[in-house]
Amino acid sequence: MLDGTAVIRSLSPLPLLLALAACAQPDRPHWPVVGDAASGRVWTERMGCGSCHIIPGMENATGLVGPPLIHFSRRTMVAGYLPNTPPNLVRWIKEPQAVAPGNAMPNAGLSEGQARDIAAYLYTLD
Amino acid sequence: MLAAARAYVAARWRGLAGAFAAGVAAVGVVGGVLGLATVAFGLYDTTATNPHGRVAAWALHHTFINSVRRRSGDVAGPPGFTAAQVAAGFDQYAADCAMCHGGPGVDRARWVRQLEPSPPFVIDSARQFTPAQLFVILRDGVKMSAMPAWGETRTTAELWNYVAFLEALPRISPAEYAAMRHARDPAEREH
Repeated sequence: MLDGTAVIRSLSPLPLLLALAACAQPDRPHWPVVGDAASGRVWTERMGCGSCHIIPGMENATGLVGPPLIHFSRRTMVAGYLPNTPPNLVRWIKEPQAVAPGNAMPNAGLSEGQARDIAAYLYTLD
Repeated sequence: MLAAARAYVAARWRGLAGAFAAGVAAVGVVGGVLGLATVAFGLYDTTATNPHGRVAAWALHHTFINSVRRRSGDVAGPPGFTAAQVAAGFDQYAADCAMCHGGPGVDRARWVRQLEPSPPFVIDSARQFTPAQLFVILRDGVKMSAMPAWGETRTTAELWNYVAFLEALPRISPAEYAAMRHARDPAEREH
């Protein structure tokens, strides 16, 4: 016979297993915090990024000019040829025309801090 | 016996209907008070530095899209556009539109980021709207955004020139666009 206590006892390793599964998630870079993600989200909206990029969780960010930014924290490359590391991403956001001259993404005159905040926001896109 | 059961059911229904009506009225009153309080006490943040929340952004944008759809039905667009219209449209775009809507590889004017809703880059606007819808947006503007009604100061032919350029825009590379801007105004550089 299975009483309530037995059921609870048999389920007790479950939280531990779930926690282990979460830790063991593969391919998830854990970047140091590069900036303030909340500010970065505001900057991303105000710079009009969503008119060219699909951005998950951002209303009206449905553009199909550039690549969708879904799973950005797990993307391998930035701009098609730079490894997706915080310094590379910040540089790309700040000066896309210097990184890949003649591409369609404009230099938007962002400060280093703004670019870092946007990078921090993009790294919240799992 | 049956009559008594009927009367009981009817009374139950009246009771439920009354409770429902009272609930609707209460929600209406509370909603109305909240709405008036939002207006009277400035509860909704209208500063442009804080973007609209997700609900407001969604409601405004979809109201706009559906309004344009509803009002563009009787606009008869031309079957196609000539190269001359595209060229004239580029000229007008550079003068009237580029500061707010940018271009391939070219940002909007710096001050435009201070607008909310943020004016979109329009590189793929022709993939999101039909020519008739673009014409209506250009002619009549967009309320509660910074988009003016160009129909007041531009002829119908000029309005279609804008549309001709927007239709061509997805096929113009950043390098071509830069060359067009340079040919129009050699002094013009990236901001």
